[in-house]
Amino acid sequence: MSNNVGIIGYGTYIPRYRIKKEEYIKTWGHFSGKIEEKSVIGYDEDVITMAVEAGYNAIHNSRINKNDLKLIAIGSVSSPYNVKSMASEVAMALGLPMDILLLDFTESEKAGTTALSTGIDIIENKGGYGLIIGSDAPLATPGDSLEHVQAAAAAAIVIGNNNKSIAEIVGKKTANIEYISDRFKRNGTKMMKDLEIAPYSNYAYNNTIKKTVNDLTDELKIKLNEFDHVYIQGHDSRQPTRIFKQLNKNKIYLDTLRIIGDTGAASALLGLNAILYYKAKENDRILIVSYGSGAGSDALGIKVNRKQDKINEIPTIDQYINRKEYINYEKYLKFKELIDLD
Amino acid sequence: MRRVGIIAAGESKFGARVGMEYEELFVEAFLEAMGQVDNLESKDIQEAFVGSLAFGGSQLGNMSALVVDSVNLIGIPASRVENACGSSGYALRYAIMSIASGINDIVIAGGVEKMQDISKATRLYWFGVAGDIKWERLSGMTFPGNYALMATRHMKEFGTKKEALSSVAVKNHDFASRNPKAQFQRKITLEQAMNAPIVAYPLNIYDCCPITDGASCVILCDLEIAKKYTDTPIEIVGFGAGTDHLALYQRESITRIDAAVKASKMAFKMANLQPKDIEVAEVHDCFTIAEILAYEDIGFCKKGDGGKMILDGETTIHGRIPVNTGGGLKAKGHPIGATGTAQIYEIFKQLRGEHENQVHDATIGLTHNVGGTGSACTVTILRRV
Amino acid sequence: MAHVSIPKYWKALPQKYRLVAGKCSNCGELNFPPTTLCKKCGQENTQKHIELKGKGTVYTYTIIGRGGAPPEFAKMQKKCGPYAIAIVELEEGLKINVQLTDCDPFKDVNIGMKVSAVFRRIYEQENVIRYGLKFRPIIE
Repeated sequence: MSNNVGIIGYGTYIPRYRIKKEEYIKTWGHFSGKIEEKSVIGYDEDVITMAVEAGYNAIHNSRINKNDLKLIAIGSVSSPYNVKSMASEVAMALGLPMDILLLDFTESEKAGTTALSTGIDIIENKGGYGLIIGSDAPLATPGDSLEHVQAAAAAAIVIGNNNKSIAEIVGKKTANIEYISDRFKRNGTKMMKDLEIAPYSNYAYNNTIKKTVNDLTDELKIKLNEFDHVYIQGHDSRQPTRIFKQLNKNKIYLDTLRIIGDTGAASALLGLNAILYYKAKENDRILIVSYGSGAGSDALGIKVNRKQDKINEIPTIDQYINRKEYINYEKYLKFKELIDLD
Repeated sequence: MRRVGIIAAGESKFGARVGMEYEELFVEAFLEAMGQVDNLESKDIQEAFVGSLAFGGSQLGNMSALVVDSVNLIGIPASRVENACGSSGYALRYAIMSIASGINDIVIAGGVEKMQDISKATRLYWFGVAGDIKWERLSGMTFPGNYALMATRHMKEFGTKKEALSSVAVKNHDFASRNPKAQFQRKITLEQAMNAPIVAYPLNIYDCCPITDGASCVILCDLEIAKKYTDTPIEIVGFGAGTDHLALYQRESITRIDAAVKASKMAFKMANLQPKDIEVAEVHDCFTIAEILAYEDIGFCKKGDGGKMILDGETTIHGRIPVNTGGGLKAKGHPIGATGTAQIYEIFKQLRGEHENQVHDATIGLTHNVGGTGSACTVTILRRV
Repeated sequence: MAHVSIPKYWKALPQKYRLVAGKCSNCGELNFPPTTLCKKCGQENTQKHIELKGKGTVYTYTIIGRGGAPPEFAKMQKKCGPYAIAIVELEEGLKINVQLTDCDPFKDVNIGMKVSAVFRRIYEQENVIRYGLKFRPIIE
């Protein structure tokens, strides 16, 4: 149980481009998944550039001295390199001390919360602040079902001593099950694959998430419905609603899934940022759940102290959401370099 | 200091000279020059100053040896002078100084460039070697882009219109239509010039000079002995030069080429003349905006009035001061290292009454040759003796 | 090829990533990048490194059209079309030359508009990604 570490501040980045599901329907005749539209990463962006902007925003919103950061932990499944640390590039871009812990988490689409969970344990031990970032832009073959909902975003959190926090992390659990992954990306390839064995993957999704959530509610001695806001990572805005029959559906936060899409390792932290910005009031309890094929899930319980003050020049998640330019499917393919094979 | 004269000037045909290498191009220019003088033998030439960017890099080192060999002058002192598009203007400067100082009596200054035999991708690299690399080139800037930045600002600060830019192109194409050496010999209309595809807004293809193969060669000598070789030598009465920061954003003003302002002042002071004394000029119109800036920088008009000057027709053949009567870089062509002395070629012909677009009784002329986006410049004032 | 080597790019990292300038402790001039000799007063080794804020206005601009992009940017131009380059006058008084992003070059760009720095991919060479700063219209 980590009751000494809390959220000092958070920051977000969402690319400006959007594509509507109608574009897919025009091209492919149908759309797989329940979302309206999703964000599209720009040609001159990648998970590192997004992480830098989200990280910058979080650091400034937290009002900390960046030299007091003791670690950066980044979760992503879309790093442009296999052998080269994302965290070190982000540290250089932000002018952070280079001799701190620079950690990359890339194991699955829950890597954002893996980064957060690990970061909490380390900061609890070492003191100081940690910068946690989930930044992702997962990619799959056009035409494959999983690709339809894949989007891009980055969400960052500064963690530190609860004395200064806007929200406390009151508990966290993790669960993994034995599972032969039917969703993966092989080293040396660019495209994620999903074998679409629906009942099998749903089994893993439902049971892993149930385990981690039950373990957490047991430890915190509260019932699931006592949470005020719940975010469960899913590929679209329908998947999270089918796990817990007893959970009041109104508490499940789905907006970012619905209009930003499947943001992989950024998903859970993005959901957290959105809830903190749009929904949460003082003393509210938030449950954040992630899931990644492997299979694994993290659940974190959070209690809100106060809302984050806006700093003038730092765009809010709302400003990023409302900043949009719609593109068509051709432009989408060009941006993602899926239109030529060179 | 001795007085220096030009006794001959030659130039190759400009354009896409397929199969013609540095050697052949230079020979063309050299032979034309030698054909204009009597009593001069090659062995009388004491030194060669060859301007070239060595675009493409095929003879980046020791080009002067190659060039001098092509005209059977091997053995004399020779070197490549480089300041990007301002190379042969500077080659001329050193040639003049070598005679004025008493070191030499007869020398050649010229330039040569071969640009049309290089692939597009390689060419784009070479256009990026003469400017600021770290911030200009690596922000995606191109050479036209640099002048475009100047144009946008000039249009904002002084109300210069796109029409003014395009009028420069129309005028220069008109002049080139009567120049058998010019790369482009077709006139263009204002409408064509204004509506062509954008290269770097607000500049379109008709605002930009072409890539050109060409060579030029000027024979200079101590004025005292010039009449031995020609009846009508032309004296160099003033010459100036300057430099500026490579990058635009580092300069004091981006609507003024300070290197040109300095070089002009230096030349006018030495010649004891003023801008209004100039009767015909060749200026560095690598882009149409550059010609407009030249009018202001040299002092033909007040700062900001360059656009008005072209629109009022003041630089056409009937104007107050005809500019670029050979077609300029825009229509005659711009073989980078050869341009400076190719401008001297035009003024030389004007002052001897031998030009296709003759300015009536011109006795004083000026050339203005810029390197890169203004990081180097030479201005030379010539007078009929 | 006349390209920019990795070590040459790395040397300029503090400027390309964080706009580090040198403020002369003798005369107050901002040197960008920091230099040994101050450009204004000529004093040696007097500059303190500071990070500029990355906010400014467009002083002038151009839009690079088809086929004119330097090789490092040819692919980007092919996929994304024309792009704008601007000289931006920073709050601190310095000017720099940068690419603009996240905007329609023909519709959104004008002299005087407010822009701020963002960390982006600039280009790729020898399979190594070169990152740096571009500027975009401020988010309101």
